[in-house]
Parts: sequence; C-alpha cells; structure tokens
Amino acid sequence: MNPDSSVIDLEKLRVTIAETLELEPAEVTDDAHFVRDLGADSLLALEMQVVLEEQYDVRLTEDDLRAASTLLAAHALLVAKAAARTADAEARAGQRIDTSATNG
Amino acid sequence: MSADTLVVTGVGAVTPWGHDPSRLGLDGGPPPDPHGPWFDVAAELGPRGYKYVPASCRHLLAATRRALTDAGDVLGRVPEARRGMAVGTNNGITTLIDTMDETVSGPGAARLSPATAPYFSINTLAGRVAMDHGIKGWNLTLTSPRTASLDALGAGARAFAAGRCDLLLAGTTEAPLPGRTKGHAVSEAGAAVLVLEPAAGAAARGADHYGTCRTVSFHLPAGAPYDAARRTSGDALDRLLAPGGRGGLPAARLISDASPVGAALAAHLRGLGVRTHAVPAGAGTLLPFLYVVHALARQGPPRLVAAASPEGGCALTLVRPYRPAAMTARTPDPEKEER
Repeated sequence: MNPDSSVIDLEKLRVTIAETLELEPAEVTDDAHFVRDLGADSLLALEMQVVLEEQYDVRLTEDDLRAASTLLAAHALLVAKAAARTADAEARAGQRIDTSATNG
Repeated sequence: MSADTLVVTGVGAVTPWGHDPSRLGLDGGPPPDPHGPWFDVAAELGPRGYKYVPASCRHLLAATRRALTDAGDVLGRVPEARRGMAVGTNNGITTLIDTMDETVSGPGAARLSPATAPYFSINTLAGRVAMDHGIKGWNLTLTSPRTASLDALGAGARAFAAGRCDLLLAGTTEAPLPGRTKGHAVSEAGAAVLVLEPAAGAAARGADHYGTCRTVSFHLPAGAPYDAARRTSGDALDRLLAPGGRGGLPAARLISDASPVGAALAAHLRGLGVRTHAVPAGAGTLLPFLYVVHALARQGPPRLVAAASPEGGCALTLVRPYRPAAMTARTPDPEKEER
C-alpha cells in the first residue's frame, strides 16, 4: 500500500497510466480519452484497473472505470476512493475505541 | 516434382545465433546466451502493442513476419479460410505460468494481469499470429518434448495433403525457462517459421523456392528390444526416403538429450548407413527446426534432421534443398560453409 495514498499525485498517475497503455507520459494529456484518443481497449482497461487498485490500495468497479475515462477523471475518482477508505478506517477505529470503552 | 508437392517459399528466424537463416552457426559450440539482448522487439514488431505479449509469442510473430516477407506476395493469393498453421513449442509459456502461479499463491488471483492472462493457454501463441495474418483455416500447437517442431512440419503436411489448406505456416518458438526450473541452464530462445505452398502455386506467382521437407514421427520405447527398435527406425527412414529408397543416404544431425532413446536412435541410424552427428539438445524443440531452416536457407545436399526425447518420441525430417539461380545469389556457398 502507498503509505500516503490519500494524496494522489497527478503526475505519478500520468506516468502509471502511460506505462500501462505503452505511451509516453506527454501523450496522456489531462483530458485525452483513454479509449477514443489513446487507443485503450477493454483488456487494457482491465489492466489499468488492476494496476491502479494495487498502486493506490483501492477497489474499483467496472462502472468506476467507465466513468474514469480521462486522466483528470481517474485522478478525481482515486482521490474520492482514497478519502472514502480513510474515512472508513477512521470510523472503524472509532468503533473499536467505543467497544473497548464499553467492555472496560 | 508434382504440382501439389509442398515447397518452402519463405524462411524466417529470430535467434540468439542471429536472424539470417543461412548463417546460423549452430555447430559452433555452446548456444549463445538466450537471456542476452539478442531480440529488439521495437525493431522487429514496432514500438507499441507488445508489452503484455510473452517473449515466445513476440519471437513467433517476428519470425512469421520475416518468413512472409521472404515469401513475397503469398497471403494476398490465398483466402484466409485456406491458410493453416502448425507450431511446436515446449517452453513457450513456462515462465508465464510460473509467474501466474506465484501471483495466485501470493497476492491472489485478483492481481493477475488481465492483458497477459489470455496467454496462459499454449495455443494462444500461434493464435496471436493467426489473428495478425488472417490464418483461419486451422491452427495447431504441438508440445511433444524435443520433437514438437518437427512434428509440426509433419502434421502441417498431412493437413495440406488432406486438402485442409492451400498455404501452410509451420514453425517453432521457445523462451527461457525460469531460473529454478530443471533445464534452465540449457534454455532455448527464439523462433523460426517456414512458409510452404504447393509447387504449382509458387510457380504461378513466379516465386522461387528453397526446396522441400518431409517429416516422419515415431515412438521408440526406452526398453524396446534392439531388433524391434531398429526395425521401427528403418521403417521410418524408408517412409521418408520413398520412393527413391535408401540410395545415397543423406547425413543426419540428431538432436537429443543424453538418454537411452537418443543413443539407440543414433545407433540405429548409423546401423542403417546414415552418417549421424549427434548434437546435445537444448531444453526445448527449437534446435531441430533451426537445423531444418539452416539447411534450406544455405542450400546444398539433402540432409536429415532427427530429434529424440528421453520419453521415446522421435522425428526425422528430410530436407531437400533446391537451388534456383535467384536464391543462389542470396545464400552463401554451402561447400564453403560445410563443416
């Protein structure tokens, strides 16, 4: 897991997506559509899903992938997923504290 | 030569020994390092689209391109449904399967690369070539130890004789074995492909040809009685040499592991009068095919190429080079190359 994965670096994400799609980072512009502009097919979309899940420790659905069709959209999605994961972790930690206080 | 005799009109190879089929130094000592930088995927196939394609498939794609380029305008004359392909490989996806096993038993199946996963099936190596070149008649992958590449020639020729195609691509591909695997030290890497078509078809399009090759495969059990094994080897040789018989037997290269079967086949071939030079096998089926390719590309007298596995699988391929003037110009003098 990325130790600071709640912060998603846009340029690192650009490089990751470029490597996955076999492109130069400069080709992955902020608004280039992965399928229409960059030639990604369904298999590469799935590859990107696995790579991003592993790199950012998030779970992505097929609907997520369909929505995240550009670099900026993917970045926004990952930021939201990371924030949700952090909030969920904090909530679970709070529950544990409550439980231990009750039991104590 | 009859009109429907299958002749070789294209030869392609990418190997650590080099990519010129007529100049492969196969008898020049230990094989070059299969892990070395001998294959430039971008130069052979292009800068993009092959990141997730296994090495053996890249090799096969490159060798096929070279063979088809060498053959000239052949695809345009044969409908896709009349094109067939036979490929032999032993270790084409061994490293890929090993890596996938590690992923499944480690981080889990969800971490498998979706873009690479389709290649878990050995058939997909030739399948990818078929997709690129519209080979829609039939497609066959053979994996018999050591003999698969020669078996592919035999199976392909049978399919052609049965009327299942008008154009045959026959080839082999290998990639290095994982480090901890038995045989890693003698790993093979590379690919070679032959384009074969009926003599009449080649003549109709004005194409030169390299010659012919015929293959017979058979089984020689390790514990078989000497006389029976010799009879089996002799029958195979007779089938290969028919209708001319055993007059003027060609010299043979026998590629085999140090095994009772290899030793028995060598003894039987010599006993039948075939001057036989034994060559240690690599870990796959590439080397026998490279001897076939080399014999065709450099021309010269007919040659036998034999392969044997420790399990008893044996194959003999008779290569009869043909030397039209045009091909003489692009191949070195075989007499000067003869060792």
